[in-house]
Amino acid sequence: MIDILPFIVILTAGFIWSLYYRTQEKLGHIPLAVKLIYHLGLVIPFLYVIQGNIELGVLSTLTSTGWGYLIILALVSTLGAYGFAYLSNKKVGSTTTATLDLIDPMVSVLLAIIIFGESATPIQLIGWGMIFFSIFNIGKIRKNEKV
Amino acid sequence: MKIVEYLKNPKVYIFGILSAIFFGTLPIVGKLSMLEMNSQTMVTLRFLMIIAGALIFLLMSGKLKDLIISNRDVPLMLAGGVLLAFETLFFWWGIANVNIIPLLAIYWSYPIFNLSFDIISKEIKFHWYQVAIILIGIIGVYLGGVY
Repeated sequence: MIDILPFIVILTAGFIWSLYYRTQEKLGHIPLAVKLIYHLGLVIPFLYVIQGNIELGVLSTLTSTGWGYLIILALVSTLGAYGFAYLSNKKVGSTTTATLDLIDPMVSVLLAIIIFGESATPIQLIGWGMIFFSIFNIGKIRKNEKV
Repeated sequence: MKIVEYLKNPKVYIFGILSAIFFGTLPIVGKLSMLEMNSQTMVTLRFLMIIAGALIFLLMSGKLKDLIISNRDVPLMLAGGVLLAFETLFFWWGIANVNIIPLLAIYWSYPIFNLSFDIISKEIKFHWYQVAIILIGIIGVYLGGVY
């Protein structure tokens, strides 16, 4: 018997993310730094109240490797990712940005192959081909724009 | 096969592609970071670093007054932060609780929601191939495997 709750939660997360993109589309005139401060700043107290398992003391014991990962996480996976998403939303809108996001899991799998030595199966390659098909045809999504 | 929009003007989509690539590094770098801290601490620290960096940037560029946003933008800015908070919570909960890994691909169905918003708000006309292009990509994500 498959537990339905995780599916609903995951689907809800995706739905919320699409709403978030929609709000970004309407806030294109707000500077990136300001948006990051407001939005990320609202997430931290929320997470603290809900989960409360934040141990900032870990910073004193962090190794140089740990700092390196944290800096990459902040600059590449957060600043770069959110920053370019905001710019993309402003330029091409939320639906196109969301469709381009389909590359995201493929990059994760590719990195896992490179870093952790995992291997890609033929089915995975077919899946990646389908993602590329979507991406290369993305212009057709907004072809019938009314405005 | 027709020359598609993307190939005609790749610059339009480059921000979205870069965003997806950078978001794609998140699970791998996050997983490596979690060798030294828990996930809540990791999320908090990466967000705190970005907020601090954004504040320093605004301070040094003399644009600190940009933090004062107009009343018109307040509801959407707050909504963006709250949505991001819930999305972060639901997504990481899903990562921890979904046993059948490829089913996390359900999360990447959100371009369908974005398309629905565009159609409901009459920004674009509905056409079957819009849905088909996105669905092919989502199935591709499912087959390609997530994490």
